[in-house]
Amino acid sequence: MTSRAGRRSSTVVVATAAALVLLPVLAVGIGVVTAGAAPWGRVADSGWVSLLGTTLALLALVLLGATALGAGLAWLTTAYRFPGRRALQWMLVLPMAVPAYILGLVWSSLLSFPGPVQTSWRAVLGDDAPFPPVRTLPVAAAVLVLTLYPYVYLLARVAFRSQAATPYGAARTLGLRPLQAARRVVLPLARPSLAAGALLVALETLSDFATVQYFGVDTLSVGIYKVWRGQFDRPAATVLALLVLLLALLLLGGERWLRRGARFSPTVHDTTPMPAVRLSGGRGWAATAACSGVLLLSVGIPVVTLVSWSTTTPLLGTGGSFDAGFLAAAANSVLLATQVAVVVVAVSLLLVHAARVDGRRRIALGVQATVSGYAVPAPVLAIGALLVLAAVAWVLDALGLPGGAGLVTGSVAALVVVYAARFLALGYTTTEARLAGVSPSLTSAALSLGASPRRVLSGVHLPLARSGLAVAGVLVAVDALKELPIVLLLRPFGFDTLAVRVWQLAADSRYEMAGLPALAIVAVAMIPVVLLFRGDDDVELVDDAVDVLPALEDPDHDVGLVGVAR
Amino acid sequence: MTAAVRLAGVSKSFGKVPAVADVSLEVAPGELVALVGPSGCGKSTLLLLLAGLLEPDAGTIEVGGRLVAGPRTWVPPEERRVGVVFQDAALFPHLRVADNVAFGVPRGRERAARVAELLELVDLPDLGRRYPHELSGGQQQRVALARALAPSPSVVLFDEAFGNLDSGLRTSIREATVAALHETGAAGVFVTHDQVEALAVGDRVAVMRRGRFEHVAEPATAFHEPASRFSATLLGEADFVPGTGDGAAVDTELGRLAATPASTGAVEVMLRPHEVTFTPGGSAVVDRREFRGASYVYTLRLPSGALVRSIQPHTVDVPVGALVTAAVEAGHPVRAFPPR
Repeated sequence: MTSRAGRRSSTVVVATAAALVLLPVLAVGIGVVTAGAAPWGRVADSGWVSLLGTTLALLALVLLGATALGAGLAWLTTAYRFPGRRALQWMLVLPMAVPAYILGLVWSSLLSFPGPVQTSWRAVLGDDAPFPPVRTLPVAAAVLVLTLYPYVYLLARVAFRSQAATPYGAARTLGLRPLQAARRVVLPLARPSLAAGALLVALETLSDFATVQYFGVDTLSVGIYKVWRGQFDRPAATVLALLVLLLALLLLGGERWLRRGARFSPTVHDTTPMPAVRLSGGRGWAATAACSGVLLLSVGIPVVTLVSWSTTTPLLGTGGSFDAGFLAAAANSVLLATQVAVVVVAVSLLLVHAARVDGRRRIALGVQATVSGYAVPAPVLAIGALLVLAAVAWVLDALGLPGGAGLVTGSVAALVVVYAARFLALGYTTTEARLAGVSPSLTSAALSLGASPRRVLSGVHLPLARSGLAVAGVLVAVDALKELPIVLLLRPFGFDTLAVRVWQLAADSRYEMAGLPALAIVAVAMIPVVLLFRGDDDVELVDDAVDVLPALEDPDHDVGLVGVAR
Repeated sequence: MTAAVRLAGVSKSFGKVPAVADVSLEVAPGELVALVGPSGCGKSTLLLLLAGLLEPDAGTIEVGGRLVAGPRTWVPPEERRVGVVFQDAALFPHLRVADNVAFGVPRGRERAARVAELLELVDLPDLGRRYPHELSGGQQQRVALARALAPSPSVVLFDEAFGNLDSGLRTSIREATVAALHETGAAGVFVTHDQVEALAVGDRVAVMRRGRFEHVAEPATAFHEPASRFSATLLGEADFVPGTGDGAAVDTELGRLAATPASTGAVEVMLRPHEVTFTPGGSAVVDRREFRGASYVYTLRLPSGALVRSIQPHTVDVPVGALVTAAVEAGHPVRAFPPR
C-alpha cells in the first residue's frame, strides 16, 4: 500500500465517522424545512410551549442542584480533612453507576402512597396527615441531581487540585478565611471546569425522557417520545427534536461563554498541595455525614431496595423475575453492548491512527466533529437517524431492492449504528488518552524508517493503544447497556433490553419484578466506575509529598475524566 | 527585641519520611536568612510550616513574638502576618495587578494609596491596570513581592522565588527585593537551591540536609569554614587534600597551611579553586582545563594522585600535561576535616 493510498483511506474513515454524527443532526434540520408548515399544527397540539417551559425549569433546577452539590462536595473533600475522607472522595463517584431511570424508579416507588415512607408517615402522624406531592418537577430534578452531580464533582476536583492550590494558599497568607478564599479565588479559577461539568449534566438532562415520566414531568424529550412512539408522527417529532437541538446548542454556547476566562488559567501545572484544613470534632463528623448522606440517597438505599425487591419475588416459576423475558432481555443487552463496543473500538483505533499519521487540518476537523457527538442529545440523534434511515429506505424502494421497510420500523443493525454514533466520542477520547503518553515522534520515527501507514497501525499504534482500547471497550459496552432513550425510540417491535424491561415494569408499577434487571444493570455499571476511580487518591500522595516526592500524577487518571467527558 | 520568627524543635514527616526534623532557628527583625539545600531536603516544607499551609507534628513556631503553632496552638495562615512569594508568582490570574496587590489590604481609604506606594516600591508604578498574563516573568515576580508586602507582614517567605527567571534578570530582581525588604523593615526567609543566591542575599545562610540544619552562619563563615563536607561542596566548588597536622598547622603537598580547627594527625583540608595558585615547573601535572570565558579552571594532579582545582584569569594559558607547583593563597586559615 502506498503512503498516499494510506492517507486516502484515513480520510475515508474519518469522513465516515464524522458522517455518523453529523448526518442525523443535519437530517433533523432538513426534515423540519422540507416538512413545511404541516407538522406545526400538531406540534402546537402537543403543547410545545408548556413542554419547553417545563424543560427549561427542569434544566435550571438540575443545573443549580448538580453544580452546587458537585462543586460543594469537591471542595469539602479537597480543602478539608475529616473522618473517612479518603474512602468517601472516590465513593462519591459511585452514583454514576445508578442510571437516572433506576434511581427514579426506586424513589418514586419508595415515596409513593403505598410505599414505606408514606406508610410510616401515616403511622406516626395519623391517616389524614398530608404528605407533600411526589410526582412533581422538583422531585424529578432531585433524582437527576443525585445521579448527575459526579460530572461536576470530578471536573471540579481536578480544577481545585491542579490549578487552585497555590492561589488558595496565597489568598490565605494574605488574610482570607477558607470560605472567603474559595469564593474570591478558587471559584473564579475553577469556573471553566464547573461550566464543562454543568454542560454534561445539562445534556444528560435534555436526553432523558424516561426518568421524568415517573414523576409526570413532560419535557420536550418526553414530547418527542410520545409523538413518535404514540402517534408515529415523524414530522412533528422532528420539529420537537429541532427544539431540543437548539437548546443543546444554546447550552454549548453558554458553556463557551463561561469558559471565556480560560485564557487566565495558569499554564504551569501546579504541584503544591492544597493546604487542607482538619475539621475537628463535630464539624468533621458533620462533613462525613453530609458525604455519606448523599451516598445513601443515591446508591445505598437504591441498591438495598433493589436487592430486597429481587429477593421478595420468587426467582423461578410463573411470576418469577428470572423468567424467559429477563433472559431474552439480558441476551439482547449483552449482544447489543458487545456489537457496539466492537464497532466503537475499531473505529476509535482507526481515528486515533488517522489523526497521528495524517496531520492535515481536515482530518483534525473530522475527528473533532466525531467527538462532538457527545453533545447531541439522544432523542435528537435517534430522530435524525430515523430520518436518514427513511431516506435510505426510500432509495432502496426506488431501486426495487428489498429491506427498506425494516430500516424504518427498527432494526438491531440501525440501533448499533446509532449507539456507535453516540459513544464514539467516549471511545475515541479514552483511546487517545491512553496513547497520549506515547510521543508523536514515535509515529514519525516509524514512518521515517519506511513503514507504511498500515504497518504503523498494526506494528506501532495497535500494540501501544491496546490497553486504551480495552478500557474504551468496557466503558462503551457498559454505557450501551445502560442506554435507554435511543433504544426506546428505535427498537424493533418486541425487542427488549434490560433497560427497556426495567422501564416497562416500572411503568406498570411492577417494581418487585424490575428489581432483578435493575440490579443487573447497576452491578455491571459499578465495574468501570470502581476500576477507574478507586485509584483516584494520587491527591493523597501529593498531599503527603510536598518536596519529598515531587508531584506524582497518575497518567491513568485522565482516562477516568475523559470517560466522563462524553 | 522579639524575633521576627522563632522555630523551636519543629518536626514534620509525611508517612514515614521525615521532611523536617527537630529544626530550630531564630530570625531577627529585618534579617534576611537563606535556606539552601538540595531538592527534597525539606526547605520548602519548612516554609509551608512557617506560612501555616502545613501543620507541624512537633515543636513551636512564633511569628513576631506570637505563638502561631505549638502543642495546643494553631493560628491559620490568614492570621499570621506572614507574606509568601511563590516560585511561579501565583498571581491571581483573574485580577488586575492593582487588585492583586490590594488583595491582602483591608478595604478603606488608604487602600489605593497603599497599592500605589507598593507598585512604586517595586518600580512598576504604571502597570496597575494590567492582567498578570500581560506581564513578563520578572514583572510578575515584582508584583508578587508587592502583594506579599502590602499587608505589612513581619516576615516574607520566598519559595525559590527567582528560580524561574533567567540569570541576568534574577540578579536585578534579587537586588530590588532585598532593597524593598530593607526599606519596609520586614524580615525575609529565602528558600533556594542556588548557592550564589543564598550567599548573596542572606545576612545568614542555613544549609539544610535531610530535614536538618547542617550549618547556620553568616555567608562568609559558611563559605570559608563550612561545618561539614556537605556544606562545603553545596556552597561552592571544593577539593579535599590530605595532610598531617601537628597542632599548629597542617603539612600538605601544597605547603604548610594554617588550619582551623587546630588538628593533629591525618586530616583533609578544604581548598576552593580561587585559593589555589601555581607556578611553572614542579611535580604536579595539569590534568585538565576548562574554559569559563573570563577564566580557566585548571585541574592539577598532585604527586600523591590527589586532584585540586585552581581558577586563573584567562591570561594564564598553560597547556594540559605541563608540570607545575601548586600553592595556596587563602588569606585565612583553611578548614580541616577528619579524613574520610
